Amino acid sequence: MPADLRGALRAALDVDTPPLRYERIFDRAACRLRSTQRRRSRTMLSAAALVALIAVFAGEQTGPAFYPVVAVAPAPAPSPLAT
Amino acid sequence: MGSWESHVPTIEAARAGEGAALETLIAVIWPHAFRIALSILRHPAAAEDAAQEACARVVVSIGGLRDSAAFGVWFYRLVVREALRIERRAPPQEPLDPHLLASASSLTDALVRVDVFRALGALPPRQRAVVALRHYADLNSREIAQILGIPDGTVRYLLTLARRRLESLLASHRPSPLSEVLFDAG
Repeated sequence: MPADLRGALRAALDVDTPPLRYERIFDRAACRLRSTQRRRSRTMLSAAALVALIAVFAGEQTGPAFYPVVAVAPAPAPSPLAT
Repeated sequence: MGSWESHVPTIEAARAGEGAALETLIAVIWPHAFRIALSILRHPAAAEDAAQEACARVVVSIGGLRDSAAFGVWFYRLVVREALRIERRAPPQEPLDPHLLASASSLTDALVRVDVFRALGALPPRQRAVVALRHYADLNSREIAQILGIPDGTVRYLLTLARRRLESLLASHRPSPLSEVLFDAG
């Protein structure tokens, strides 16, 4: 039986490591960067589309066509006097 | 492994975007990334995949690391998350790889290695991570808690559970028959 857990674990993990392949690591990093940029540009595009939609909607509500609607709206009734 | 203090100048140069420093840093972290991933996944090919992905994340994100002194915890977090992700999505089912035994210095070492990996296999993946971070990476329970995103007390509890289980499994250790090691070392 191994004398202690730490020693046993370290001995078991004292294995030959596979060769370090920089090119694979940097390829993976480049791939990750590209997908992050794609995601970011999609998010920005969605945000821009949302802003445009809000602008269109707000334009419809505040254009000259909207004023008569406000002008003919009934005035609020006066609040009763307290006795 | 010990402290990362001696590597702080390299880490800072890598953060500043120096390519040569980044390559040096990757050469330093590679064996640790592989061994921590191996203790969780117990299969060299899967561990290599996790270690490469963790190193790629280091390359992409080291510029955003605020404090070089926090590099160890940050780096181990990347490795453990990647290994746990692989374990969750496609746990390696193959028996223990013969390459793990090839590097053993003696037959006894090889047999002990088989038994340790089998005992690790009896633990849930998160407990394997806790054991490896404590006993291989020499991290304390607070650092392990930061890596796994769980409370400090939970780390101590998991460590106690894992130690008990491993000790009982390894206490009943009898050298595995050679045929079993060579043909069915799962």
